[in-house]
Formats: sequence, C-alpha cells, structure tokens
Amino acid sequence: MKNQTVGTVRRCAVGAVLAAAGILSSGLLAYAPSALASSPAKAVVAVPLKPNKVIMIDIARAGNRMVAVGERGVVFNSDDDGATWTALRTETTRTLTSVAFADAKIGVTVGHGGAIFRTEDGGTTWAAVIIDAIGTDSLLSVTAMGGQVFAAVGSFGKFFVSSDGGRTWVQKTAVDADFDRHIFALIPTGEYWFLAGETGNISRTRDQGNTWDILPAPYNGSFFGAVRAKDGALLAYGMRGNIWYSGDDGITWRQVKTDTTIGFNGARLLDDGTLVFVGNTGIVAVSRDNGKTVKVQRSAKGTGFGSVVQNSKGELVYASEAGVGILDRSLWAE
Amino acid sequence: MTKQSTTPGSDEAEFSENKFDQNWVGKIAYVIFRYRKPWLILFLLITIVLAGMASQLRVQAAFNKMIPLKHPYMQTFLDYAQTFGGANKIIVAVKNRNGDIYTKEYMDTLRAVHEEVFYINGIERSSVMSLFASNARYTEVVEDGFTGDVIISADFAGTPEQLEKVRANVLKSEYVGRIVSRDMGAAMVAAVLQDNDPETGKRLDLQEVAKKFEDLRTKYENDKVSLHIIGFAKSVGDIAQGAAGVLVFFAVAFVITTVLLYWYSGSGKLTAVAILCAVAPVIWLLGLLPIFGLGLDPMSILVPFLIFSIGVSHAVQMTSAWKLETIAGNDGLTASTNCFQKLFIPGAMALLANALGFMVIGFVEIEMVHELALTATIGVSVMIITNKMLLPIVMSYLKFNDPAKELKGRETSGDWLWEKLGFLAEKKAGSVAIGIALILLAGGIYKARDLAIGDLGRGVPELRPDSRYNQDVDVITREFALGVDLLQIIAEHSSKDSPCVQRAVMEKLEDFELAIRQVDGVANVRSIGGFVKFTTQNYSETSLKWRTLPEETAQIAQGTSFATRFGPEFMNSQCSSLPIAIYTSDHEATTITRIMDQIKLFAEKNDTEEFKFRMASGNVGVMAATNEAVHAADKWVNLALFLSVSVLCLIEFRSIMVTLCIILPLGLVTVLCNAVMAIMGIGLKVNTLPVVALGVGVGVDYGIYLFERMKHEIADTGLSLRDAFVSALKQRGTASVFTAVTMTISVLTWMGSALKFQQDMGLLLAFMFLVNMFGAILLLPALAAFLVGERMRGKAH
Repeated sequence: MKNQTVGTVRRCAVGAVLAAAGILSSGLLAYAPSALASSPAKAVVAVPLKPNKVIMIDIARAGNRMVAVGERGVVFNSDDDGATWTALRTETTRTLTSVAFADAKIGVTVGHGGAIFRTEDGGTTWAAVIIDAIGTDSLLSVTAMGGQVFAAVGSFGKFFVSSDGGRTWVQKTAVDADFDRHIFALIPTGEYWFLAGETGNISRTRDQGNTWDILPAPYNGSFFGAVRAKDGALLAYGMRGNIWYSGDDGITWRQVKTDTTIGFNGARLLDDGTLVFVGNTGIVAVSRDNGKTVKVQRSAKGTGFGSVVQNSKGELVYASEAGVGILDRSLWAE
Repeated sequence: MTKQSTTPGSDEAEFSENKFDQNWVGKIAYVIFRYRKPWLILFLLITIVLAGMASQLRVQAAFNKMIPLKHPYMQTFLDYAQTFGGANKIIVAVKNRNGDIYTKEYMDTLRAVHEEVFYINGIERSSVMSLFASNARYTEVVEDGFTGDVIISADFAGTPEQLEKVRANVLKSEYVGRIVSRDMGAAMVAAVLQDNDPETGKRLDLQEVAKKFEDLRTKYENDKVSLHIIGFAKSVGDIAQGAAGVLVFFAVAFVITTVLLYWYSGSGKLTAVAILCAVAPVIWLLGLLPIFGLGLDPMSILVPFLIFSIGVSHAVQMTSAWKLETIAGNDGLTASTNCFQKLFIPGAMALLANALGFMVIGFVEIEMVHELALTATIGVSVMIITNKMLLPIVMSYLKFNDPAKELKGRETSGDWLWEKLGFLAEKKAGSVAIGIALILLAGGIYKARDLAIGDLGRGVPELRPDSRYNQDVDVITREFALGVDLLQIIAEHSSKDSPCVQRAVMEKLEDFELAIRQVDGVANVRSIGGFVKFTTQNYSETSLKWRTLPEETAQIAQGTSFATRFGPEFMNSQCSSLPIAIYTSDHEATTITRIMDQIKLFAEKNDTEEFKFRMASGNVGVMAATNEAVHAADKWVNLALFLSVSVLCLIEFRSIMVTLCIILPLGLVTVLCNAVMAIMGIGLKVNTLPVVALGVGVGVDYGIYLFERMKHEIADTGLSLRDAFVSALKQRGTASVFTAVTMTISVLTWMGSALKFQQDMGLLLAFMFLVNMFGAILLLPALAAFLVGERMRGKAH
C-alpha cells in the first residue's frame, strides 16, 4: 500500500516533469526563430552613420584631428589619424562642400543652400552663422587665409571675408561688378590671394579682395581648385584632367601632361613638398618636382575623391564618394 | 474478439454476420467482405476513370502562387508589378579565360554572341546591349558641353590599333562595371525579353528561351572563353528542368521499395499486391487533382511520391498482419477480415493524423502551400479507402498452397531483438532512455536557437548553391557592378503637382538613401534623389562639390528629365510613384529583417498623408514577405499540429498518459529536426516548414500502431507492460522498422535533385521518418513505464 502510494506520487511527478518538458519543447519550437524575425514591437534604433557610407567632399586638419564634411550636413571627426571616426550632424540638410581651420580650435565649414557653420572646439560642435546676403546660394569653398581671417566663395561670384575667426562676415566683390561665374577656390599665395573658377577664370588680389587683377585665361574650361607648390609655383586644376602650371604668380601658364580626361576635385601640398591631386573615379596625380610633371594612377575601387589631407603620421586621409579613409600608399608614396 | 475460421478455403456462401466483431468495425467489415466482388469492380473502375483524368494534369509553376498574396508587401508588389516589375532581363557574360577582352579572337566571339542573341525568338531586339550595340557610346563632358561617339566603329576588324581605340573608348564610357567587367576580363550581352511570343502571340515560353541560351553556351564555350548566363527566364528553365528530374527519383524509389518489399515479405504475390495498392492512391490523387482544379508545381510534385511511401508503409502493416494470420492457418478471406478488424482503427487513425498534419500546413498564407496541404490531404484521405478496403479485398483472393513455406519472409526476423528491447518498458532501463532523451532535448533546444528563417545561400534559392546558374550569378556579380538581390521600396506621392521636381520630395529620398545605405547588408541604394545629385554633378562639369540636390526646381527638373532615359527605373509616367532600388549583399533572412526594420523605422518617422514609403517589391521584397508569412504561420502550424494529433490520440486511447507517451517522442524529434536544420544551414521557409508537419503526421503512425497493439495485449490477454510491448513489437515492430527504412531511402533519393529545396525536404523528411521510428521504439516504452505502468491492466480486470 505504502509502496503503491510512493509509486503513484513518483509517477505523477515524472509525468508532470515530462509534460512540462513537452510543453516547453513545443513552446520553444514555436518561438525559437522569433528572435530573428522582425516585429514592430521590438525597439529599432536608427543605424549610426558609417565612415565609408556617406558622400564626403572635403577634409581638413585641426591640430591632430581630422575633420571631414559631406552630404546632408554630416561631419566626421577622427582623433587617431583616420583610424576611427565619430559622426555628427550640423543643422543643415544641405551638402557641405568645404572645411578649413585657422588653428586647432577655430574652424569654418560651408555648403550649398547658403550653409555656413563655425566651431571653436576643433569640430566637436558647430554653430550656424547667419549671413543675410547668401540666401540659398551655394558656397563652394572656405579657406583659412592666416591669423583669424577666413574667405568663403561660391556660386555666381559670391565672396565673403571674415577677420574674426568666422564670427562675422563681410560680402565683397570678386573680380568685378559684372562677375557672375562660380568661384571654386580662393587661396593665399604669399603676396596675393589667388582665385580660380568656372570657365577658366583666374584672378588675383593683393588687398584681400578690394581690387583685382584679371589674369588672361590659359584655357576656357572650369577650374575646381588651386594649390601652391613649395617653391611658390601655382597649380590650377579642374575638369577633364586639366592641371596648369604657373611659375610667375599666374601671369603665364602651361598645361601639365596628365593623360587623363577625368576631373580633379582636390589637391594638397605635403610636408616633403610632394603635390597630390585627387579626382573622380579614384584618380590620383602625384608630383615630386613642384608641379612640373605628374604621375597619374587610379585606385582599384574607382570611387571619386573630393580631397586629401596629411595626418600626423604622414599618411594621406581622403574624403570621397565612399566616405573617409586612409589612401593606399602605393597610389602616392615613392 | 476476432473470430477465426476453421475451414480453410471457405467461400462467400458461408458468410454470416455473426462471424464478425459485434461492433461498428465488424459491421463495416461485414459490408465490405460480404460484397467484396462488387467493391473490387467499383475500385477498379474508379482507378481506370481517375487514371484517365490524371492525363489532364499539368505541371505548372505560377509565380503568384509562390508568394503570400495577402501580405501587405505583396499588395505593393502587385500594384507595381506592371509599372516597375522591371524588364525580364537576360544576361550572357563572355569571359576571356586568359587575359583581357581586347583581342581579335575574343571580340569575334563577343560579336557572334551578340548577333545570336539578337535573333533569338522573344528577344526585344532594340534592347540588345553590348559593346557591339550601335547605342554603345561613350559621352565625355568637355569644356563647351558634352561630346561622344560609338565605342566600336562600324569598320572594326580587330586590328591592334582598333583594339587600342576600343580600350580607350571603354575607359571614357560609363560601361566599366556595367557591360565590361571591372578588370576588363569579361563583357556581357544583355537583352530584355518580350512578354509575348512575336510569332505565336502567346505568352513567351521561358523554358524555350532558356534552352536557346543553353544552346548558345554549348556552341561558344571553349577553353578560351566561358559563357555565364543569368536572368529570370534562365532560372525558370533550370528549375523546370530540375523539377522534371523528380520523375527519375520516383522511379528509383519505386524500384528500391519493390526490391526491399520482396526481400522482406519473401513473396512476389504479396509484394505485387502491396505495391499496386500503394500506387492506387497515387493514381486516384492525380486523377482527382484536375477535378479540384489543381495542378502540380515543383513543390507539390513531391506529394504523390510521399503518398506512395505512406501507402507502402500502411500496406506493409496490412500484409504483415495478413501473413501472420495465414501462417496461423487462416484462409485468405478470414485473414483479410481479421486484419481489417484489427488494423482499421489504428490505421485509419494514423492516416487521419497524417491528414491533419498536412492540413495544418494551410496556416501558411501562400497559395502554393495551401495547394500542397490540399493535395496531400486528398492523397491520405483516399488512402483510407485503398489501404483499408482495396488491399484486404485483393488479399482475400490470394491463395497459397503452403503458406508457411511460400510466405517465408522476414516479418519475424526481428523477434530476437524485440525480446531484448523489452527491458525498455521497465523503469530501470526506461529512466536511462528518458535521461538520454532529456540530454538530446537540451542539446536540440540549444542548437535549434540558431535556426534561421528564410534562405541562407546565395544566388537563386531554388537551385543548388553549386548549380551552374548560381555559379554564373557568382561570376557576374563579382566581375560586374551588378546586384541580383533587389529590394524595391515605392515612394508614393499623392500630389498632382509634379512631385519629382519638388525639392522636398527629392530631399526625403536623399535622406532615405543615406539612412538605408548605413545598414549592414545594403550594397547600394538607388533612387531618383541620388540620381538628380549625380546629374547635377555632371551638369556642373563633374565637380564633386556639386554632388547635391539643387535649390532650383528648374535644375531638379533637368536631372529628372535625364532620368526618363532609363524608362521606369526611377519613376512612373505620372511621376507620382518613385521606386527606390536597394541592392542587398545577400538574401539571408537576418539581412532582410535588419534592412526591413530600418525601412519601417524610417517610414514611421517620415510618412505623411501626402508622401509614403511603401514596402516592398523586388525578389528580396518577396522573400521578406514570405519570411514574415512563414514566421507568422510557424507557431500556429506547430501548435495546431500537436493539438490535433494529441486530440486524435486522446479519442483513440482515452488516456492523457498514453497520449503523452506518443506525443513526447514526436516533440523531441521535432526539436532535433530543427537542430539539424540549424546545423545543416537549412532555413525555416516555405519548403521546410511543411516538413515538420509531414514528419509528425507520418511519425505518429508508429506510436499509434504500437500502442494500439499494446493496449489490446494488456486488456485482452492481461500481459504485463513489458510483455505487451514485446508482443506488440513482434507483431508490428518489424513492419515499422521496415517501413521507416523504406520511406527514408525513398525520400533520400530526393537528395539527388537539382533543386535545393527538394534536397532539403528529402534530407529532413528522411530524418523525421527514421528518428520518429526510433522514438516510438526506444522512448515510447520508457515513457509508458513511468506514465502508464500497469494501470491499463488494472482497468481491464
């Protein structure tokens, strides 16, 4: 009798365990894959921006920090020479086209739709600057001219100067009152500020843009930028593989042979005097003779470059259609 | 109690109702065997008529049947199939095995392929694109606008100078990565197929087109160049060809089964009867399908196969029992009568369980699965007639002079083993078996967590990863900037005011592109938003700084009008629906889910009354919907399956404990099956979800047949659980093992199929059939020892 009871109890216990296991197993069966399926109840957060998945146009250096700007007001910062990046968004949805720093802290970025922002902390935070005269016109370039002076240029001859680190801006006339071409670049060349723009326009000013010398156009295609070589020579570059060389502050020019018809978007003078030009479809032109000759190569990936800058390790960090990254050394180093 | 006739060779005249069981089964048996001749003639007539009907059966693969039409994504798909369904494109990539494409020999081959493709019937001639097309031009942005020329001049003869010119022109063109591979080692001929055959006006026969392209490959592929062909038409052709191959496996399975059955039963007569009665439900099924308006598709084509296997399984139970009766001295008719009375309930129950198992698959909201469920259900239902009536009637006519000798088979050859297995029905050994089962369960649950939903491979999921087609997909996607996995989202604008020149609309698309481009698994996103940016850059002499959406409507319109060159790729003609193409790096369910989640999030935040993002089309959109439908159905299928099978067992045995003894091993095997799927990298999808249901439906047979016998042994002869188990095994165990092995081998032949899902189904069904048999023989008695014990005996007395 006693045994029977024990048996029954045990039987019930085992039965209960097994029944539970059965229910558990069929329950698990039913729910095991649910972790993989989408359910609206699950909290989904937006994926953060990836450094190689945003169209980035320009890149500059603020002290040891790399700061790149691009589409939809995106800024990427890197404090480890371009190994890792932090994304942030400025208060614009327009494409930012250019970024420049006066020192390690003070910088300006400009873009389409009259976008202009200023940072005092090396690019960590950006505040919008209001310039009434811009409207929604495009700003295509901003340059640190020395000290706290910045110059910004853009579409239809727009030209602004700031002497207080980008806080306030004065609109000035570029070239002459009738000038309505896009200005892609304005760079300091020692004695002058040198302007390069649409349809072969090049001019220079000795007095921060109050008066201009209109230089004879060597060619009537558009220039997308200019860079000064270590020996003072001027290089203007632009569409269809054009690079032009001037050894006399822009008075006379000759074309540098590139054997390409791909446009160049950006250029940089490196510490050792090497000039590097980068452009669409991944072309890279390198000159080690102050711009007299260049050697052109194309990156395997074929994505267009906007600009490059040298990091503290001497590597080149690029801004491109496929975001930011470190340029393959074989494309530019000896 | 079954009556035993003592006069061998008794004829129908001696029929008397009181020779039959005094219950409803006995009454049915009387009706059947009293009028066995009319019944037999009737069944023969039915078989002949249905065989005639079966000739009308067609194998079809309608695309709409394969998708969950009720799913909201598929509503989008259907709404836009016409507008953006995209061209039915076919691509032939010609790859130079050594070196680049700029050799005379290669160019001659490419030109020949171009011309052959041009003349294939059904090809939209104006669409044929390759370096040799007259519209293959390069465009250059020059100082004063645009300039361009054809890539290959009309006088091309393959001279070195001309080849160099072609090389230079290709580099200037936008075709690198598009019709010429990135590394210049291959070039393609791409073309669009017409909807209708221009010669007959009927719908274009894609299989015929696929064959033409295969001929092209045979003609031009050699040790210098390889041809890689992809496109919907080619994949349809390859799948159809693979499905046709099933007939070979049917034949193989048929032969194997017949040979095994003969070896097992030792009698040609019995084998023939069993096989014929297993083929009968297949014929009936195939004949009934056209009456129900059903056809066969590459998935349901496996059902007749399965029905044959199940038919053999039940026939073996019947013939084995009949043999034991005959050897015991009964004449054919008495043996048949007794067999019917013994096996009708468990057999009908088991078949009913099969039918229920098939029916629950209907929870998947996909027509192809509904039809599979219906087809299989019809198949099993007719088997109740063919197996329980036709087979015993036919056997009742069999006569053997010396049954013991003529029927020397292997039905009793397992008896030594069954004696030894008896200890499993006792608690000591039983607890070991249960312990092992629990360990397996834990391991199974652990592994089954990795079970993924959807397709895991690359390329076309219906075909094997190593099939020529999928290898070609690999080659082409690697060499060209071309995605084959497309997820399409439609941005819909209700405004009549030319939405695609409004900056706000473009900006929303730009934002969408940026957000979705960040998601892992997204290779590329294309919409009119990004296209307008790209066009703006080109109109600004290619300066990257102008990769932007212009502020001015007129400038946006410039980009939009440029986009019309691409037909409906970026918008419909009213400009109110703007498709966004998302090319994914693969079509694994996790990837799809991750992307869909982000799209849903974006839509939630950004949808307005006027402007909405509608999901989802493209092959990946269809997969997303299918995965969601499968996932939604999965729980219900399993729940309904186990509930219905449990209810059936409860009705039959009127005991929760007995039901648990039968159901728990099935649950364990189901978990293990999911674990096997996870380990083998087989996803839970339209094709594999039914496997569990089919496996459980068939697997429950073993448990029902065994326990039904045990119940009788205990109740009628008062045996102990152990002895009853051994006795049941002796009567039905050998047959169970035999049928499990035969069915496993039959479905394993599917492994040779060219179609991936048939392979998957074959492997998993084989696993379910075999392991369920082990579950019934090894685990069921152990569970019975604890859950049932000697209580049944107590009740009986």
